[in-house]
Amino acid sequence: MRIERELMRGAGPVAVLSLLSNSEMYGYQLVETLTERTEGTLEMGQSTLYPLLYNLEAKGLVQSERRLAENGRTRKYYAITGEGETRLATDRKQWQAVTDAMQTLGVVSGQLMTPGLAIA
Amino acid sequence: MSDESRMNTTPSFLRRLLSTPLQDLVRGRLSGSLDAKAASAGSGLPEELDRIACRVARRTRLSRAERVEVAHDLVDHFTDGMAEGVTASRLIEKFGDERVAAKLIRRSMQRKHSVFARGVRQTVRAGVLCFGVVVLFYLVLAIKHRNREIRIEVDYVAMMNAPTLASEPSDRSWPEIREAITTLRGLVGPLPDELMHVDREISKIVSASLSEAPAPWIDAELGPPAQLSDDDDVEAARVDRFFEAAQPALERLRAAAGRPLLGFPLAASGLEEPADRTFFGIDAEPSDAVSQGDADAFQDSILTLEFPYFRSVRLAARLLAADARRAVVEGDDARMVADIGAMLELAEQTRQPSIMIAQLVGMSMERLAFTVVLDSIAALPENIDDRSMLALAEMIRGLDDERLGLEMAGERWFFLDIAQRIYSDDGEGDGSLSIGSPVVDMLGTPSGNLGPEQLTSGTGAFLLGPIVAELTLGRAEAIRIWMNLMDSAEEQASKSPWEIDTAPLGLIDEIPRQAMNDDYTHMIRYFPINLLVPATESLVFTSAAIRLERDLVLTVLELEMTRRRDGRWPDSLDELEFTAGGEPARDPFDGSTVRYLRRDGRPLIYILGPDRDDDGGRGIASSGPGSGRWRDLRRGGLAGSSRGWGMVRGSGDSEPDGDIAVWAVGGE
Repeated sequence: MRIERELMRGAGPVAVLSLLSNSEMYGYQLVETLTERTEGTLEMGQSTLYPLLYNLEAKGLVQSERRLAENGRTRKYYAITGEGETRLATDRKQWQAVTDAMQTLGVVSGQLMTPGLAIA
Repeated sequence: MSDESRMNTTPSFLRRLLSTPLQDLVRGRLSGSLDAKAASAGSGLPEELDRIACRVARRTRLSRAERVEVAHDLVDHFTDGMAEGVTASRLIEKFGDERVAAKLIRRSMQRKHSVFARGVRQTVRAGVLCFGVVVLFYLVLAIKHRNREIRIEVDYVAMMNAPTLASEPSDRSWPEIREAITTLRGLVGPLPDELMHVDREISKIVSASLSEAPAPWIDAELGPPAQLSDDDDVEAARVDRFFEAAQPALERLRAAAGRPLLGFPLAASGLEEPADRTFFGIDAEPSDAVSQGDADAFQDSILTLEFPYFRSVRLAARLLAADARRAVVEGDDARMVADIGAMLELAEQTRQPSIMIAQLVGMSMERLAFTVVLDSIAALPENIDDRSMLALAEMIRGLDDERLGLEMAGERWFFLDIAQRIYSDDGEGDGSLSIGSPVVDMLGTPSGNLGPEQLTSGTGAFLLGPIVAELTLGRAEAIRIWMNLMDSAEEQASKSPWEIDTAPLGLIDEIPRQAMNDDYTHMIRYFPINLLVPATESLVFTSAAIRLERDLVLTVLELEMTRRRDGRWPDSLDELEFTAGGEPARDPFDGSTVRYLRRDGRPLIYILGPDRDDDGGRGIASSGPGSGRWRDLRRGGLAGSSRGWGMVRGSGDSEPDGDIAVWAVGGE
């Protein structure tokens, strides 16, 4: 299922930061990994990915470096910064809260992660 | 893709040169690293993917370095995709909309710029936008103003000349005046080389004659006359010989004055008549005062008219004045009356065409005639019989207000002629200033100060011409303002001195003339008017002074005739009968009848003076508070006081105490 643009605009940066928190990646790798790990839900084209990466870079949440890859070509690799880690932690909590709230409302199903939001 | 096609995409030397950063060039490296196309060219991607990368990079409209970075990222992405076995068509499909991508990339890349860089960018963009607007505005104005043509349709010089051309030669006085003065030139003795010096020699003789004529009332009331310089000293015997020999020429002048008009042929290109060229000592044919290139602009222009005859007719009037005084002394009052009449006739002829300078010359001749009459009655009344007194009274009374009034028709023509040479013509009476035209150039360059002239000629005109043309008054408005100024001058000149309002004379379109020079926008907007408008204030007062002097002469004539009839000076001016018309002269300072008294049995007529207090006929002291500027007027009498008429009475010491004597019979 493809995600609406507005939702993608909120989810995309967190998803990318989350992937980069595990290891640095290059652009195509990010797209493919997102598609694979979310089973296509957060699949994004270049027209979405690169503006997103440039934005994160402009905010200092990721940094890029062009260097020689294994195949002998140069390639730009993106890595999360300390500021990015902090932001990711904050975003994770917010998304958790949103997810819990949606579960409480019955918008989504599953186990509540935040007990305080449970409906008595 | 074949190797051959790859080779074809190798950037040329020039392209690489143009795409190499300056820092690389300085180091001697021809990197071509700013070439986004080159960034994709060596990737080995299918051509359509290369093109997408280049198009998107180009559409971002980012800096060249940023475009190269974007192109690299996209090429890397496609290359990685191809390496994973994804087809080009699938990659294109997954890419999404190119325009949206370029737009989003542009925005996100710009967020990477520092606040300062974004500020600079916004400022530059605003500057470029403003510059573009200015250029567009300039182009609109340039098209608007450069495409308009000047059309010179009215020959105002011909209009000025029309009365002369329509007249018979025998109706023109100028040829007679010219011949009379030519004759007089032969009487001054050994001739100096220059004709101008000959006329000056005649003038010296005239001055000597005028100064020796008796005028005791002036000496008694106003102090001794100014001494002539040694250079002007002429032996009395020489003066006598000159005037004796000059009688035929003077008779010729008197006869000329009886003709209907002066009839001097005005020509924009110089003097037309060979006799005139000889008379004025000008050898050249009518010519080429202006270059061929400017000939059309100046052709038949009032601007280039010369009026060399003013000096000659003024000399003729002074000759007649001196002769009139001599005639009184000699007891030839009929000749004196004829001389006065001739002076007044010549003055009337000289006032046409009615340009300002002609009016002023004519007025000065009229004043001279009045002064001779006043002096003669004061000094030698017994030498003027009753018949001559009546003849003088009739003659002076015939000078009605209209005859002595101010006429600005010539000045109106003058501006209309200028307007048709500096303004375009839209066919409906309007147009814009034609910057760069020779006439505008000529008008704009005399002062040499920083001002509109720098904007109306040369490079300034080329660059700023359309803007100046837009800022400067349009033709219709300029003509309207000029005509209003001329109307105001004529209207104020028709008033009595105490009623004259000088305020409108100092305004151009409701703005004080002084402000024209203080405000640069006013200077540009009103520059054709401000540059050309005459100082009408003194003209208006002079015109009013002429009428007052006429009334004073009539009053004095009536006074003398009353004395002859009653055997004594009257007790007051109320006793004057003015049986043939007229009334006592008015005091220009308050509008009441001039003051009259008898001092030691002799009459004195005076006006109040700038303090507007009646001081019993006591004259303004030659020293004391505020007297300095009036000292020179002590012999100027009524007309000489005219510059004080418009003064608003103030307080304190600025105005001198005392009255101004305008006529008296002095001691023995």
